[in-house]
Amino acid sequence: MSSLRTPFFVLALVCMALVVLVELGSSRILGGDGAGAGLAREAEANEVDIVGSTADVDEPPGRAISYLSFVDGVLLYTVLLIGASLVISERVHGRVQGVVTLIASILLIIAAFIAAIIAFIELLVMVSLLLAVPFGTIAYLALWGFFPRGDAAAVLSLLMFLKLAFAVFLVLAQQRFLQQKGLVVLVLISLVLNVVIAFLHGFFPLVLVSIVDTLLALVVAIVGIIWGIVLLIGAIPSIVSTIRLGATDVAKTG
Amino acid sequence: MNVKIAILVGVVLVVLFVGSVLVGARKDDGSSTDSNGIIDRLASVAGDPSAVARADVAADCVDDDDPDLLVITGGCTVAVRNDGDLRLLRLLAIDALEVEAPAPEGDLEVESEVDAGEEVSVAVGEGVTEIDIDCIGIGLTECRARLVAG
Repeated sequence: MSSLRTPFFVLALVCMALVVLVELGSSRILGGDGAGAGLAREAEANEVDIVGSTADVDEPPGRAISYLSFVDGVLLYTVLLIGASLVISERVHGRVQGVVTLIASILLIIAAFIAAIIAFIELLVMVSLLLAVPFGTIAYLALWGFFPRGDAAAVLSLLMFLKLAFAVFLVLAQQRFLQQKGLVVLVLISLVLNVVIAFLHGFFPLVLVSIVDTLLALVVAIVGIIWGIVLLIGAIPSIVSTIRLGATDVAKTG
Repeated sequence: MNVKIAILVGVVLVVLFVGSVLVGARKDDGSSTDSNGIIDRLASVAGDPSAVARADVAADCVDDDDPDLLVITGGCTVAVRNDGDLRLLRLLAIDALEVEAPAPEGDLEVESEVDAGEEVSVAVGEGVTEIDIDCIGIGLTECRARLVAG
């Protein structure tokens, strides 16, 4: 069993592409439903009155699921690189891989770093508002207090299914993928993050889920930065060998 | 990693995931008034929002002799300027009063009754926030509140 079964590999690729697309689009799928009734109930619990209508108060979209694309994007990129070797020559693939990986990893690190800072600042604002009873608490509740836990669980279930399907198709395409430790670790991290987010979304009281979600987004962004650094370091030997090959070619033609 | 171990890991992850989703489905929604360990820890990291500087507070009802005392005749509007992060205006109600202020970062107006002797913190976002204070005691036309420093 040495050759790659292309149909299974293409299916794996499609599954992972869908994972990244669902994650990127999750902020548009989640949230947006009215949460005015919940806010009125919480205002009563905090012994304050809300002047005017609460009809504009909506559920927040959350961050953690969309931030998963930093990790799953690395997985998609890795599989795309493997796929590219099927359609372009080994020589071109070897030369291009290092440079593309270098650029992609730098972009990933920058994007994940900015996203981590945004999540961290939002987390501090959330906690400060929540604890500034009663005026800040009501502001927190209006903006982030009613996380769409059910919808998020549905999206995470879809992602879990697609990721498992990806893993199964990848093994069916070539069993030796199981021996690639980096790929296996990346798939496991992606699955574990999915489970952890689903667990913590359900574990905490509803009004605190947005804070937990933002904290998870921060963790996912940091994991993305770490994988970006791993990619960056992995690209260096490839670039060095490309430069050496280039120098050899110049010497031969000269 | 061989196929059997991979299948086992996959099954364990699926069981954990289903368990996680079921835990969330059965969980009570709770309330913002419940205390929670993770919030307490995050609060210790974030720290309390700073109090607004006295120089950033302006009102027509400030007592001539005591700049921290608000003497409210019927009602008074306190304007608070804030150039940065969330700040708190702390008020100690000497008499019963009602405070109405916009919730920071949102479009809501929030109203809270404060009993005599109680302290209330009004969260103030960036920009100028106008806080309305009204006397609410029966037959009371004048009430007092003290601006609490730091």
